[in-house]
Amino acid sequence: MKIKRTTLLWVLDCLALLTFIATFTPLVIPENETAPFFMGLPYTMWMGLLVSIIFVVLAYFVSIVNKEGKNAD
Amino acid sequence: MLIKFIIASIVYLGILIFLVRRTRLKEKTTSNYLLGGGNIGFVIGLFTTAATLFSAFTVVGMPDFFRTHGVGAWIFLAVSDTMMVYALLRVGEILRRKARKLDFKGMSGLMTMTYKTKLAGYVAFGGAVVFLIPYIAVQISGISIFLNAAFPDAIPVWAWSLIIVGIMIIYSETGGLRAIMYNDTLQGILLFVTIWIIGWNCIDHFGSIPAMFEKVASVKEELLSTPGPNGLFTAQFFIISAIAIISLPFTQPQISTRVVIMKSSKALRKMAIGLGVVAILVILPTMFMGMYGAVLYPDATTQEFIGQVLLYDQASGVAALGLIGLIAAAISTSDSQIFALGSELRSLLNVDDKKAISITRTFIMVFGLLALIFSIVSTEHLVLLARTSFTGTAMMGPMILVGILSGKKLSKLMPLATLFVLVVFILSKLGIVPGKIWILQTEIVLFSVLALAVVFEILVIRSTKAMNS
Repeated sequence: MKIKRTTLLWVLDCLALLTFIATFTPLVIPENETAPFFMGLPYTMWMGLLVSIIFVVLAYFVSIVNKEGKNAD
Repeated sequence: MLIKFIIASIVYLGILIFLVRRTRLKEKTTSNYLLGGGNIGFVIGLFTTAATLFSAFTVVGMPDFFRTHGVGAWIFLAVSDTMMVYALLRVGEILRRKARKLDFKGMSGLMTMTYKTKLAGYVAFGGAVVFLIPYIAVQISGISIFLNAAFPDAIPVWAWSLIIVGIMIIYSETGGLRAIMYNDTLQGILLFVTIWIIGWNCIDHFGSIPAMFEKVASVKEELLSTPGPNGLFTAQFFIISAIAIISLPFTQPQISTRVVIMKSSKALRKMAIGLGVVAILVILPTMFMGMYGAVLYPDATTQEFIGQVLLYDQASGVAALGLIGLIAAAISTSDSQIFALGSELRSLLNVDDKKAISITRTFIMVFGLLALIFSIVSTEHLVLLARTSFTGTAMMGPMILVGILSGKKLSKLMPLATLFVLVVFILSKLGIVPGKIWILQTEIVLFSVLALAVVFEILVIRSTKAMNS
């Protein structure tokens, strides 16, 4: 169980790190590019919104995985 | 509008007084006065952390950032804030375990204990004072100037500052951290409601969000991409900002204290997720306000633009609420920062609890007065230090994280490296050391120095110790 939890946390950390790195590349912040628009939002805006949501979702998964673990209470 | 503002102020002050009476402490100890009893639930925890995190900068600075530099401002703050939430969940639990084990009173005291040298505690405390007091002072002066502009015939700027600091000190002294947290909750809700009403009105002006962006594109298309019209939002700028913001829960004492005193790990987890959602929901309307300003007031000064969007373009009732929301945003962050400086000082004191609390209360007043004086005689250097407050405190991040995460005896390398880096950083902000080294900004170089120090601490010093033992 502990090994499974550690593996899951490792996977979540890797995903968070990859998203972190991608945020500072042209994938999220291409220079002077406004297209493609999504629901009327310019590219960097909707990609930024997506990255924010991804981090909240990843954090939610961490909180679920950590539920099982030893805590400070 | 003055009448409506006075009515709203009376209602606001009435609720503050009610909360102060409810949280008043007869016997003040470190546990109940400085740490709020150490059993904060999810809802209060969420609102107090959010109100502490989202300062007047969010209400004034962020709309102006969107207006001037474009949608990249979302990456600068909202994305960095949600990254911070992830870091908070990953490291927060370890911090809480360490805090329980070492009888946490403040981050400076915790650093003294983990590094077993007072130098670490002094560096953490010194860094917090040097970067937080200017930040508090600039917030107070900013709001006071704004209030003076809104009501030029009422009272002078310094009198507004005095009223704001007076309110903060009275309820901090009376009820301690619990009073601050209850007030933060009130202020957080007020800020949230106000900012959404104004944000909504801004979208309403264009009819829809796509119509708003179409209009912005026709005025200045560069606002819809990075690096923005002034070239500010580069990858380096975003990386430095992200590091500074991700470190907040560990480097800014007012936030780390809240992480430690949450009632349970479950409450902390819920609070952190809630904080991520609130961050998105608070920053979104500031984007609407900024885009509105980009179309209607592209050449106005910050103060003119904020005056228009918060006051003059709104119905008088909403404008009064806007002003109160702005004051609430400034107060809820500043009171927590002043109080946290007091807690940090307490954590370095080795005297009996009663005496320590008495000294701490005196210094909370001193820190408040210092912020008031600096807000009145605000200089360019002070503004520079405030502007770089988050980056400055983030320089303490590696030392604090190594201290929290390491279970083994540590050397003095991290406190010394942090002290050196902080001095160089301040000198670079004062223009004595260059702001750029080769193609890299000085901050990136300094963070790299700290990263090297961490590697050296973990690998070299530890292996040397293992060989000697």
